[in-house]
Amino acid sequence: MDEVYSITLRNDHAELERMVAWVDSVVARLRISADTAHALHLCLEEAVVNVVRYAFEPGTMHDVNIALWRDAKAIHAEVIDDGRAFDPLSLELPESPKDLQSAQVGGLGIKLMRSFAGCAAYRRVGTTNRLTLSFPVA
Amino acid sequence: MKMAVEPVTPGVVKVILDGRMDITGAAVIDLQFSAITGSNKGVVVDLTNVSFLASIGIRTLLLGAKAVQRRGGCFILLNPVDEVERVLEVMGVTDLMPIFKDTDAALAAASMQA
Repeated sequence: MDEVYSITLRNDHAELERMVAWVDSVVARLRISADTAHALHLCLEEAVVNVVRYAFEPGTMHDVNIALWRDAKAIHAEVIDDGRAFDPLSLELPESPKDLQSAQVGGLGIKLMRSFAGCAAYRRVGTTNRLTLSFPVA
Repeated sequence: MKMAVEPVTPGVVKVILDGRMDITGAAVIDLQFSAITGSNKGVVVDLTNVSFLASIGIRTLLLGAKAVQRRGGCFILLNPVDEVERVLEVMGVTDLMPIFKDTDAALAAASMQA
């Protein structure tokens, strides 16, 4: 396995900007296609927003760790938090809307993540949630 | 993220968005966007300079489109870049509201119901 890049964010939405800059810098080093880079940005945004919003008791400070690495077949990302046990992949996806007025505006992030990651897996390890997202590289 | 509003005719506006429509970007524009979609019957949202669209931004667009449609108006997306259009397609948004590539055609369509 090649080098693993990692960053630690606080559980604060303001940290997302720092994450975006960090993903950009890693993407440049990993030399991946624009499409894969976009999918990676999108899925990490959704995964981390979800953790920051739902994993912790309000007003408590926590770390959210992200690791990124590449092997011969894929780019892999792992998001680790020590919040309450929660498997985002277990959620029921919103149905495809039939018309505008009935279209749901919640649960869209999970659907995006499942659609844009080639593979997604969740594990509870000790007191941590670990969400792994993989993106195939040509 | 930046948002500019250009009045076209009474009740019809072009909203020009610029930047990343992620959690940070949506927080900046949500209030103004909702005020515009709550008070106009023709709304063209120019996405030319939106480089990134996350679920929170889709929520903003859907809520705006619902508000306009409920009052019998017309909500149109204009010229999304490829990556943004792909997100709209995957989420089924392209089936819910028109997407135009041409500004004049979009403005003409939005003006029909106003």
